[in-house]
Amino acid sequence: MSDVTVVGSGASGVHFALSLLRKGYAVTMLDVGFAGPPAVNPDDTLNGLKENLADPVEYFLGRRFEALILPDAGKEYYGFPPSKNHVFRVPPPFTERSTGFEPLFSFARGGLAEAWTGGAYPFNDAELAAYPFGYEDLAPYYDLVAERIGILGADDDLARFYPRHRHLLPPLELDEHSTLLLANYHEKREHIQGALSCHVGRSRLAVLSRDLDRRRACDYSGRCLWGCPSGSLYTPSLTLEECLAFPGFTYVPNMLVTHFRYAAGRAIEAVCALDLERGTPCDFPVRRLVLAAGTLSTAKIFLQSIQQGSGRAPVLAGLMDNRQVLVPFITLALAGQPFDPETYQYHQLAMGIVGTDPREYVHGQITTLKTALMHPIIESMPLDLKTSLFLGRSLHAALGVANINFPDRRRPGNTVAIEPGADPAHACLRIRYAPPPGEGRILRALIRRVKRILWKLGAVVPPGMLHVRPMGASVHYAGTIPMARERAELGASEGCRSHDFPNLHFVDGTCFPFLPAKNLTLTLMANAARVADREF
Amino acid sequence: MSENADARLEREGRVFGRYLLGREAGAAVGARYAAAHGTLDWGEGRGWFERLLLAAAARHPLATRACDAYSRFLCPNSLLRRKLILLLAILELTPPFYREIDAAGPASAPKLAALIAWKGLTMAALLLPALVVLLPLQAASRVLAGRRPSGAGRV
Repeated sequence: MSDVTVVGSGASGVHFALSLLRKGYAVTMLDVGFAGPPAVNPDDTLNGLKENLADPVEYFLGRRFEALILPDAGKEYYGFPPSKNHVFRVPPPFTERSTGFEPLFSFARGGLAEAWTGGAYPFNDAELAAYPFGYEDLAPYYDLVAERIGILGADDDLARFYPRHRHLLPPLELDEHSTLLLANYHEKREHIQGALSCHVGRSRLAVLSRDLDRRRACDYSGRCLWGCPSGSLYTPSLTLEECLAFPGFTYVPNMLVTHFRYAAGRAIEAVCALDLERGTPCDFPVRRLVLAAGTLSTAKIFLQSIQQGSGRAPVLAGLMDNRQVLVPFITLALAGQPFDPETYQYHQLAMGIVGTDPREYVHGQITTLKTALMHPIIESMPLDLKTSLFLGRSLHAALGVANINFPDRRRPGNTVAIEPGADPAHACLRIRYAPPPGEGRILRALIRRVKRILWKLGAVVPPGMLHVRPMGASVHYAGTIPMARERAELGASEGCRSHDFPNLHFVDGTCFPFLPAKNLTLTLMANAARVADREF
Repeated sequence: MSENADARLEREGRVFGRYLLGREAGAAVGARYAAAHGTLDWGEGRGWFERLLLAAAARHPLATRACDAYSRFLCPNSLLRRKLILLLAILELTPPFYREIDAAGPASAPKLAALIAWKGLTMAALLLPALVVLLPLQAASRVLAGRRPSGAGRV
């Protein structure tokens, strides 16, 4: 029996495991672990793939054309590429029923962050106000994670929102579009900062601008959206590979953990899983259990365990997710210009929009659309396809999307439960979510402000193309078993230890008591490393 | 898929290719387009109006444009629209066509504006007769579909 059993190989699970392995612990990781295909033609650029692959249509759209975006796709401007199909594959026994929420689950080797776009932003003290610790407590672990995975960024106007941790790599070369937007910002900075309370600068990204161990620096192949072939864009499966090099690490794939079994004193004795290959249930005895399956899957395991052990069916309240609004824009000066596909493809610029309360900080990521498939954009134009295609070609270099993220708070009506009477392998997760009162008014006001900011940056927002994504789409889930200084049932300690089970810890978003607008992935990893350091 | 169906799809792909690119997209693209229909389950349960729209569009690139313009505003999820998007997606990934789709349009702003205005006007000129002919037919198809037992002839 290992010292510690971890469930899930996502961003938090692998960093937690790596920290423990470095301390000499024996760690077992249980995981479904769906794996993706190896990178094809790793030395080709994006257009090289189109030229050299035997069937580029199958590579980019998928064997069943699953990446084809049709008119009823809900205004998504790019879909998940077929090479990432494994990230959102759900094993058949896993079911959920949701109201007001469109959740995504991952059972992939490396978890949801295998499809991460790399935004790596530390939370500041204002954003950590609801947490039982402050930035100073988390700072060493931001440093540690930055050193492990490589994070790049710049000391610019956004530094006021993103504390500067150590081991920050120099930023990548900006593409032409981002360069122009940033130059326009600098020209009108006073007005944008003053009247519009907005700051623009370089994104912090989990991407290498110089080689790190076996990973190569970004070579600008333009393949970011389709799976970085050089390992430059960080994914947790890279850290899982590091864990596998430790003799004390045991990785057990094909295991869908359903619940844990506990004794009279509530000490957990075993984890119960379904072996997906054989279709048989398995038990794994445990000393200390760490759930890192992702907020919703962790909630399911936790609730199912209580139901199996006590017959009770508690409800976890406080589910959070970032509302996202996609604001497509056209930078007028680039209309009719050629574009260079051999650049970094995800967001290179970010914007921070502030209100009176620093916790209401709104975070935007500005992506210039260079190698995204054009058919979803062309299709969404209010014209026939021939005219839209002409317009799309003329505006390709000028197209961009600002992805605006809003913070979320724990509210009692947003719940996760298990449908009563279900058996462990086929239990149905029941999710209910309602946005906060007055959200529409807040979104409308913010969207108006974003349009004005973009106008100052030299861009216009075409009418009818703005998209408020459904809740659940951001996949930034948190808050169901919050950490707090006070002891509470269905809660966790400052060290993310369960108040209900003495040998249980949570290291994913489950324990976050507040969800800032920034992407939470870096903080998930840093917090997991903190728990490994302080509690073990 | 039957030989007739394959031939019909390849012909359809050729006309749609001429509509989108202004020239034939070639046999390989036509075959890829036809083969995709074996994977994508789109169409058999659709109503007579959509089938008519598709048949009319497949006759000539001008008719395709008129039907597409009509479809964009009044039948945006139509089978025709889906097929055109499928072909566009195939073209944007297939050499040499992807290079044409990635190529920039006119760099001069007045020329670009004039071309957009011209294309908008021609679209409007084709949309008008399409509206006159197709709108009553679509309305009729809806009325007839409403009279049938539930589930029959869904669009």
